[in-house]
Amino acid sequence: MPVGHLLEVEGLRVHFPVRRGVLSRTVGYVYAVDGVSFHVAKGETLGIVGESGCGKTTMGMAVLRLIEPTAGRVTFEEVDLGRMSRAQAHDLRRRMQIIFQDPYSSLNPRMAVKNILGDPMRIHGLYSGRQCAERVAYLMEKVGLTPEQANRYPHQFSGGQRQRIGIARALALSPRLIIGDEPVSALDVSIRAQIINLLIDLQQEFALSYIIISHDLAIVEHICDRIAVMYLGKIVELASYKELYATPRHPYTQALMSAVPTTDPRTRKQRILLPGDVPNPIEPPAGCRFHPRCPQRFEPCARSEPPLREVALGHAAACFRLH
Amino acid sequence: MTRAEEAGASSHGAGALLEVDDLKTHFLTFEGVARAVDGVSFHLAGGETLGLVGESGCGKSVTALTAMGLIKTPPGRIAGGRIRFKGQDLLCLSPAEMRHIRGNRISMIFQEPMTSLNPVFTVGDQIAEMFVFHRQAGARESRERAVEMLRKVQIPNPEKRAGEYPHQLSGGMRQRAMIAMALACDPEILIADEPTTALDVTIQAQILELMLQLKQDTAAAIIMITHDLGIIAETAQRVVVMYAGRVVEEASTAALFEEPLHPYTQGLLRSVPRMGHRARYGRQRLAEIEGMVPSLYELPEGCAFHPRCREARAVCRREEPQIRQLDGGRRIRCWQRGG
Repeated sequence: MPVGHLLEVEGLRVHFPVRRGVLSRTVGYVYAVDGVSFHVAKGETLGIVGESGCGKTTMGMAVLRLIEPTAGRVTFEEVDLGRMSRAQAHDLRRRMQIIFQDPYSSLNPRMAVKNILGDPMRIHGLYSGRQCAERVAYLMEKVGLTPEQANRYPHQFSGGQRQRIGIARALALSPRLIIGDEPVSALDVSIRAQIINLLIDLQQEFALSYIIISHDLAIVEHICDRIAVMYLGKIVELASYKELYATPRHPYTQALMSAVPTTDPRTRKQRILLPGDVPNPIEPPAGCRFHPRCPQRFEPCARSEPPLREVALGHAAACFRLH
Repeated sequence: MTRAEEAGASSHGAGALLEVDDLKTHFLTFEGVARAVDGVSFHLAGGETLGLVGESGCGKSVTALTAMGLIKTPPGRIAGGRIRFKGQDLLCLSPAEMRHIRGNRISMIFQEPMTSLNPVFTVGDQIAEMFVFHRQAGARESRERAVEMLRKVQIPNPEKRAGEYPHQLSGGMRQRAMIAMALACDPEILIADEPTTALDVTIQAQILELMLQLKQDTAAAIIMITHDLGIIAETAQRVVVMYAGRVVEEASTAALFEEPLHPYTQGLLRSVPRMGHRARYGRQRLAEIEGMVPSLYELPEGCAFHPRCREARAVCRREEPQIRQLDGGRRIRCWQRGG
């Protein structure tokens, strides 16, 4: 493994069986994540963008082992997560955390904030008693809340404040990597900037690595160093934010970017309209999964699947037009 | 006449199709009175697209629902104001009279097409009902015209799709079916309440494109309700910005994006990252609007925005600013501007 990579993902697959009938026979699979490889360096932010059903959330869950992957290897701080012991797994939870999209359903309504933040510390034997209370107060301040609010319950906070609690909970155990699954999508426009700025500040202060999963191309560009674009369970393009937004190469990325409504007349460009809907991941199209909607398809696209290959320095794309 | 009414009235263009005048829609709940819409005035001219923009709870949807006569009373209560459609006050109409306007001359599409379509009727039947009810058309003719509408919104294989139920359609297809239903009777006004918020970006682009195309064919005026400033910039000619149940700013789209005047509008525009900006200019810290949207049960004294406003002064905390008319058809509700 190259030095400096905190997380290494190779050939990750997550297939969900589709069961039907009284005997619940498996009649097929949902190929939610189907062979995804990438790495995250220390202190880096990797963005995963894609539309609903592209597998970005499942991918995040599989990295954290909240979902058991079907195949593939995830290496975190040089430990293969597939082969680790229970004790190692317990320890790993401490160093990889997640922030969920919905701040309403991801906090236990019956727990006071001091317990939402404090319980993980006690379970992992990191802090107890006064130390724990001090750490809770410290975290509350770090995320822009006041220590006095620690006795309150989630329903006493607004959506933006709840997301701050979610972030404090993720920080509680001093993790190395935080996966943010649509961390601002559920929030009001005027609150989003607060949370985005907070995430960036905390990253610098605590030398965190992030994986930010989002459908919002502008937010991903603003936060992330490198970005992977997913379509139907595969990464179709992976590049630095600079490369990707200046010269998107894959036809899907180009269409996705052209589809974003913009308030800036200077960046307005020709819109590439894709025909049809995203196909069903139970029966993904043969060959390149994007070919039925691709404006640039030609005859090899239906036959075989283009691999993700470097097309420029540090810029990979999975498209026969580019190889 | 209060000053608000004066300013509201003077902004009405000649021959406005729809005039909302000092509208107040309140909700009586156990927690108190929520003043969801509290003195909203604007007008819609024939053939134009008006953007209604604001965050959740600003009253943009309630304004639309009031115009459609869809506010349930109680808990809702229309505490004042008028909504004139071609001079006729919609708030004075009987439910029967309103039924002949709703869906016929003013129609609406909603954010979530799965919950706004009836799951137990086929898409074709639901569209056909528009012709049966509003045009007294026969069953067969209605059915044929429903298929025609589905073709118009570019649903492939419309004869087959007409016989399907909403759950058999994808999100984008369902929204197309909603649009087909809304446009079935050639309405004069189409109210679109977050029509693409539940959809993916590439599907959103398809639906917006379709709406722009259909608008050219039908000449309907559109009220586009959204929280997405990008959608406003690309579809609307004029924009009304709402905050806490009030109109805080109104301007042509070009003027609003070029030179927003209200501190809230300015904050909103600066707080959104723009695609391509970081790649070109490097990362600039996003401007934050501090605090949060106030509760409609306890609106702050004075200007509703003052607790979050960087420019708030004593007068802003004490007294509510009235909306004022500026040059170029602009209006603003702020003590610090346009004086």
